[in-house]
Amino acid sequence: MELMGRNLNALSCQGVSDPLLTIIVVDRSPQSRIDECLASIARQDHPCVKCVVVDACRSRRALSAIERLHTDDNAFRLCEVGDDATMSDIIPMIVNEIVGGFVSILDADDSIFPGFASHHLQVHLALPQSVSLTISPTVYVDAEGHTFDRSPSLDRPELATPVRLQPPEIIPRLSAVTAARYDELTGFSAFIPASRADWLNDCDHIPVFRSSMLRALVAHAEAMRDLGSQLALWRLLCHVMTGSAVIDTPLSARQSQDARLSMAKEEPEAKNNWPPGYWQTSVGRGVENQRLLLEEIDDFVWMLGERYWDALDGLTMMSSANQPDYYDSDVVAALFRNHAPVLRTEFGDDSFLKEIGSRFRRTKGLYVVMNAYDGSIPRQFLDHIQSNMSPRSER
Amino acid sequence: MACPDISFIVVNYNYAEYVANAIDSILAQSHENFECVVADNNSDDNSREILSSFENTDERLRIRYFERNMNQMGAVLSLLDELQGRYISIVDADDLIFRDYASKHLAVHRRLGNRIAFTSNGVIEIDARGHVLTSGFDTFLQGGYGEPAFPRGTRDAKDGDFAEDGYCWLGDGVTFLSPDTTGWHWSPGTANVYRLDLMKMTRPMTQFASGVPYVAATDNYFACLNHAIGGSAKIDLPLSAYRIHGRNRFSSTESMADLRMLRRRGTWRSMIRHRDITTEITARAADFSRLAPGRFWTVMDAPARIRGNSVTDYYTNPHVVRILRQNYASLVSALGCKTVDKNLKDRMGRELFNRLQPAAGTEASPTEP
Repeated sequence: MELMGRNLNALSCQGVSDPLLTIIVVDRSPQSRIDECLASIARQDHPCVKCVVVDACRSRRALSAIERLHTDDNAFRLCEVGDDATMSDIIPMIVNEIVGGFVSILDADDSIFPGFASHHLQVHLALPQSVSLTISPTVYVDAEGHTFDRSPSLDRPELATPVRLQPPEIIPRLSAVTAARYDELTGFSAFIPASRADWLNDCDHIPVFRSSMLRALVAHAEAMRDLGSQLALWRLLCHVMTGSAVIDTPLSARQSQDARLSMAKEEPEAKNNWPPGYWQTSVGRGVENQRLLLEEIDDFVWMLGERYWDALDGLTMMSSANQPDYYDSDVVAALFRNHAPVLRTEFGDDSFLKEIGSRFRRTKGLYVVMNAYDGSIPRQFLDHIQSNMSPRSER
Repeated sequence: MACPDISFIVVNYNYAEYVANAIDSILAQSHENFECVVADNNSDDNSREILSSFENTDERLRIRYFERNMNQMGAVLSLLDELQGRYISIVDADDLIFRDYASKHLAVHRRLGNRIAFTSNGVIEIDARGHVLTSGFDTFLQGGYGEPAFPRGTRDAKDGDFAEDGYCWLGDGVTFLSPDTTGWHWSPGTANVYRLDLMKMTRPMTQFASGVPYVAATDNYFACLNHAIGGSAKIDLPLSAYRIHGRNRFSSTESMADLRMLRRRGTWRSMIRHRDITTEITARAADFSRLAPGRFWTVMDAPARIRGNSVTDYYTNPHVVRILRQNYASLVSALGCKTVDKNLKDRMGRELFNRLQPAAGTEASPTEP
């Protein structure tokens, strides 16, 4: 690593070393491309990468694949799971395997390009403010390894804002990132604010998380039953906490049988355009996401402060156009009603009433608020909803 | 040996795995005219064994062994009077400084006429094993405050450090923060180089006798107070590493924008310790009015403004009211009754001010009925 043109390791008397990325590979299928996956990790141009392979399908192919690599004994490690272990058991194991400040989780059918680690880590270090995840597009390959498509670009003006990386002189520049490449990264980098979580619907991009944020969130969230859902939840939670940084150049590949199996859906403008059942599923998913923040309100309010409410909105994964309909749902109102007393305690009367009034239409708002005031309705709230606290779509 | 330009203090308590790194990084400074005192706060790991291996290895280095844990502030206060340097840097035993740490801080102090209270550099946050986590501490990076310390047009063309080719850290990366600047803008831990004379004048004297354990982070006290007196400067360049290992009472993870990642306990402890500043200022009002002529109340407001809190909220806090009540006579003696009453009333409100009775045995009392 370099800092101001000098070797940072020497500058710090060997006290500072490269950022460490843990890559966890979950092998779920005896037919996976585990060999290609691990070989791609071994080809990383960043020197500080550790790989833990979780043999979830118990095929033992992972062990053979590691042995064939003939690498440093410490770089690749196998994590065996018990015969009865389900994904709910495996997921906490994954978290326990994380070492270092950064982590990425791959399926054994994924492979990463040689600059995956260095590019993600460099962007993490070079951003003017830290985020808890960086993401980059994936290309789709067929069984023969031919590329036939890529995941949609996220560097769109309506979604992401170009971000200027810090001057290379004043931040550690990784050895694998040349000065020219650093300049290119500035052109590729963009920031998606925490308030825009709707893009995460069916997101197929492979993120690099900050380990500390993942650990902090995992402590509060129960393990899910499948890895895809788990990763989606972690991605969402990390994003609503800090926003995400996009590196809009493909840095990984995924084997897929069909073209564009996974893509970010374009959300219809109104919920009555949604496919049957999709609205209910989406609301249900939003409720479960919000429940996490509401049940652990103490810790999340400490971390987020007043941004807590924005994070709640982000967890709906709906555009601002559809959020009023979301908050008009009975099941959502019931969720907030149940947590109304603690919300009131955390934020105080003024803030609590203002935030509820700005989200819920009148009867739903009353239904929620009453539970925080032992069945009564504060005069202040009645004034709120009558005067200027209209639902967001009406603003 | 000539008087050192800068004094380093390392206070160690049970950081055996890191303290050698910290000391080595000091001894490797490119600016060689320094002294370094390492104090062990009665560690019960193998710290003492490690520290004893450094004894008599460098005439600039002294090791002190305390018989009880003085905590960081207690240890620093115990050693302050033996230091000879013009500047002081307190190096946490679990951090380390880069080779040009001293030279760059001294360069800024000198070019600013040795007037500012302290300089603060950017830090690289590292994990327990030294792997980089971030390139800077978040509150330090979120700028927009202050003004360039050496704007173009004022630079000495003959000064080689203002080289025009490439990035000029001195010209483009140093920001001056006037004493009136509110909020916390500096890096944590090992990043601050203070004027030693000012630190000696502002150290807590009234609350804790020398040699007594004092639970406080030094920066929480000195950065806040000394900045309000003399201003500070930020050097936007990493010159040290701040280690996040989970055993620190303040932080368990690296900093992230708009998130409070500090531990609750550490944050609340900081808030409590800021009241120590109010105790010291009010008890020694005459000293501080001389240190900051015409700006006494700006200095008084510093603990309130450091976290962006409302001044009124601070002055109406029951603990602060108690401090003001206890030291009202000292304030009046230094500043005069009329000035004190007006300023306290503006900050506390009339009703609370009227309940500010003098401590027993004193003659001064509020002018309001």
